Amino acid sequence: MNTTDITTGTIFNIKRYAIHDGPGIRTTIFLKGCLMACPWCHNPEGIESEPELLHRASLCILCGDCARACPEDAIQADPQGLKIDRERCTMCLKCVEICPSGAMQHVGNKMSVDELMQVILRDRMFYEESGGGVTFSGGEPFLQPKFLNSMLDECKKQGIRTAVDTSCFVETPIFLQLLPKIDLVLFDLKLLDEKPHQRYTGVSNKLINDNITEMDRAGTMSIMRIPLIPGINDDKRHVLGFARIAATMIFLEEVHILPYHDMYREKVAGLGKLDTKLEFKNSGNDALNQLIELLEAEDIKVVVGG
Amino acid sequence: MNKRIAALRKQSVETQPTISPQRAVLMTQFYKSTEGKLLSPVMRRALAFQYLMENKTIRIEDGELIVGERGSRPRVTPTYPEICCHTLEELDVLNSREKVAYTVDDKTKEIYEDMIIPYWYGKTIREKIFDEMTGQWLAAYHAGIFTEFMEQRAPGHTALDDTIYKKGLLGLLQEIQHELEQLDYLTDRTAYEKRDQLHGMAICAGAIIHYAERYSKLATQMAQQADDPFRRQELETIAEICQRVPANPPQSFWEALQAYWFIHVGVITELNTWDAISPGRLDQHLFPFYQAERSAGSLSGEQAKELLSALFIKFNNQPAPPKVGVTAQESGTYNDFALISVGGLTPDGNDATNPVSYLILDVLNELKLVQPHCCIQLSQQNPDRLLKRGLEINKSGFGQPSFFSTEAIVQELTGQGKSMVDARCGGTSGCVESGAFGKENYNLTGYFNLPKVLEITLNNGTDPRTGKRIGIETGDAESFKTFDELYLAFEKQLTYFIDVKVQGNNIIERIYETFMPAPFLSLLIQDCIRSGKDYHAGGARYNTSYIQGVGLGTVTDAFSAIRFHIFEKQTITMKELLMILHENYEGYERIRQLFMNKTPRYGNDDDAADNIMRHIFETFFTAVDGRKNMKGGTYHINLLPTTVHVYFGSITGATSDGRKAGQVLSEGVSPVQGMDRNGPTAVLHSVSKMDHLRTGGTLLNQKFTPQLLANESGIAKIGNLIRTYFKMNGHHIQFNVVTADTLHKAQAEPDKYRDLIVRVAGYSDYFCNLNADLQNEIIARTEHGDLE
Repeated sequence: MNTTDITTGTIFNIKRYAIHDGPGIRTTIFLKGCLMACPWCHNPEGIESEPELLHRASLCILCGDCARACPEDAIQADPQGLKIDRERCTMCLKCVEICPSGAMQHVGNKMSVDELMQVILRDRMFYEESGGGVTFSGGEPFLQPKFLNSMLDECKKQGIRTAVDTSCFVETPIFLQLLPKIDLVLFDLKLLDEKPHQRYTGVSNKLINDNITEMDRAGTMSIMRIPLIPGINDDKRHVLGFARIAATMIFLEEVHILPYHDMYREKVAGLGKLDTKLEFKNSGNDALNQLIELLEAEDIKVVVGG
Repeated sequence: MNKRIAALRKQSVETQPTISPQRAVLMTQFYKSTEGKLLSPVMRRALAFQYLMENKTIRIEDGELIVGERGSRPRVTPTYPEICCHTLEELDVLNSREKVAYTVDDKTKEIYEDMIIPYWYGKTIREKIFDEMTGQWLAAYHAGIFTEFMEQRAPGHTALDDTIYKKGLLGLLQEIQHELEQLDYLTDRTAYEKRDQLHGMAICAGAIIHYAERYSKLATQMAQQADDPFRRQELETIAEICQRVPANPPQSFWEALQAYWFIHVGVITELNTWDAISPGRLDQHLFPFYQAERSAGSLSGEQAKELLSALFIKFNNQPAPPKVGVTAQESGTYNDFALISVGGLTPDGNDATNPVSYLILDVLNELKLVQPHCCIQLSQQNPDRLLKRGLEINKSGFGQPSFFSTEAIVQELTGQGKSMVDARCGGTSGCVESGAFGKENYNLTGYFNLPKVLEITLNNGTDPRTGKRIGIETGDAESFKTFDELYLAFEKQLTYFIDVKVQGNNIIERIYETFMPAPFLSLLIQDCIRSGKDYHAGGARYNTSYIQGVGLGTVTDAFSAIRFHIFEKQTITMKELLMILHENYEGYERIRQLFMNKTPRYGNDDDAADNIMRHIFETFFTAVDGRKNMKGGTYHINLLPTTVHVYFGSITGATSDGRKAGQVLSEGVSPVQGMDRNGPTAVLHSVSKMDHLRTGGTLLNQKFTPQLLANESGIAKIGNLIRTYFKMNGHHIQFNVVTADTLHKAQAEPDKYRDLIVRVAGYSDYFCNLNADLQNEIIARTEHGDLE
């Protein structure tokens, strides 16, 4: 690369051969930090903006190396499992370094634009062959606007198409400023009404709705993604509401319906966070098929699992 | 498939393979009757072939459209006592072993005891080979450094071009006559040998024509007795066809298929050639007949499909000749590895895809037989439709067709000195081996165990499994100050074993040339007629010997761990490593985890590991490539394992990639099982860092769950992967689209399945990274999919 961009971002995962985050074969970059706190979030390690320690119990062989390596004595390893005293942890990462099985993980690497571009460019041939590119996901990628902006510029310079996967909970000026640089926006719709939205996600949906409207007005190609959470948004009213919003959007390309799963729970535990223990019970409504039917009646392409 | 095909398929699939002593008896009778006669080996072999084709049992099964079998009935295989004569104990093993059993009845055993074994004892090629091998060769062979293809089966690994369809055997007989007339007895001291060779080939041509005529007569007889007028007419047609082909060039689609099949039966009856023989570019060969008949209206699409299906079933009717000992372990299968290629380029370099390409794929998909194998020889010029059709068939999970890059094959072959047109008319046969179809003797001579060479190096020439010194002394491993010193020792050890292997090969090649000429196969491969030389004596236009490297991923990762942990990070010492390997990681699980999880591993697009792979590739390449074989040709390398990575693994101790003693090695050029964790694009990048174009074939396996191919978009993206891999000069790729059964195993042994990608909810992920509940949920989904 000709220029050196020293802007750094906090990245918690990079997925190559991402095939569900936009067209073609893509590399998805997960930017850390999100202001919402949806209890069903399947990337709970993306919520905190600061780097975290994640312990994957399923990979742990309980060798105790981490406990011995910890200068703060913050880790206790016994045959039942591992306990981390997060208060004492200074994030020195000695445990991550020594862990032989890779169970102890550091989520949230600082990467510069150049470093990240090198990873992205590795799969350029695959993007070109398939019409793919790079997707910035999260977390909420707009929470690192300077970094995102630099990445979008650099991708454009390199001729790589971009997508951003966002909650749209972003200050509108920032959102509108970056939109023209993005080829495709993937956005979430979770709850229709402000109060439940506030209750479950921690924030109002007013800003989100405004941004979605602005985005479509600006002519940005988009994909709507609906995480279908049993008992939360799979009732008839939500189904109708989602379909209605989709039908009014001019530049909407597809709708992805994401059925609920609970694989996030191991990660929540591994981050030392309290599981809300919320049980999401099916409301008995066949929301999936109703939604598919309604959307297809409007000639909107639907992908389940998106 | 229609009723007839369903019935023939059922018979082929459900009949238990059986050993028939008939060929052995005929061969023994013939050899006894010619004992002491002044016959050159080639004349003796030609007359033996004639005797076989005259006397072997012929039958036409109910409803058959294509006729001729290697054995007396479908799923019956003869034996080849002149190459390797089974003992009574071996026949018992074959009869009773749990997997891949062959029925051997008491009568057969009696015949073997009374006639076959007493005659052939001490006279077989196998015994001759082992008698002639040096102590060094035997030591390396028994330690599992390499295998030897030719100790139980004759050289083969070749495929046909379009000669038999264009000239017929009468055309070849004319060429033989022409060459006989040109012989120069005045100044050419080889003229007499050439005459014998040409006479031998002529006898074989006559023998196969006569064999076809026997079928013609049988069909006529059966027609006369047939009650069903429809079947009567079919039998009459079969009689006419067998009267015409393979003597004359075929005139119809049916005749073309029957002509090929007689030739195929001839080759696999003459000798037990490796990989039988392959039809090669069957869509190209058949298309002229298909097109002519379709436009004339004399062949419907359904008829063409039925006839082609009948040919496919014929392949499946031929279980591989049963092997014994090491060779049985490396290839415990009924499969005889005949491969049909579709797609690719025309001789003048254009897209060769035609309607028969799709017809072949349809039949492959409908019949789902173990053999023949099919591959798509994908060119940049071939349409995406061909690629998509191939992937749709893969979706059902049986790993076919496989995909080869035509551009890679053409560059490999031209790089070896073949003409552009010969290269374009070539392709791959066997597993993944490139060859100039109809013009090349390209011989796989044996697998070569790369990780075992490292093990021997670490033990200064001694095999720790047996305590025997089998290699050269390259220094005490603890004395190596740097990684380069260790690597140099490995290089020396490897070159030594290649020397030993090639010396053995040279002797074996001469044994086949001298004692076991193949005049019938010679007839079919250009330029054996023109040169008056046998296929085994360098008569073919091109003559290539391959040695196939195995365990590239394992040896790369083993080296990577040594470099990273001993020489760079100094996590452990060489002394400790040797002790840990000796202890097979017992009590050192922590270190094993470190090797697996905290070491640069091949297959992740990580240059730290991939550069080691390239280095090993170059070492192996340099040790083998360019050596001269006994047929005037050259050695090249291949990287493929068939199933030998299981056998090689079983005799290789613990390796420093975290692999325990006895476990399988990595296969082909694929990364170590479960160790590629950055997805398929990273794998393809890693693998394409080696120079495939300087090999004669590499094998790459990739594993996907059915969900990834469930819709158009998923299929298109896997198509993109293939196209991109081939742009990076990859040679071959094939897919395992896995089932719930595999996922269960993945749960039980996650370390082996770390690279398994599954579709989760809104995304895909590594199966082993999911919690148990979700895994179970996905398993349930997959089974549901299977039921649909």
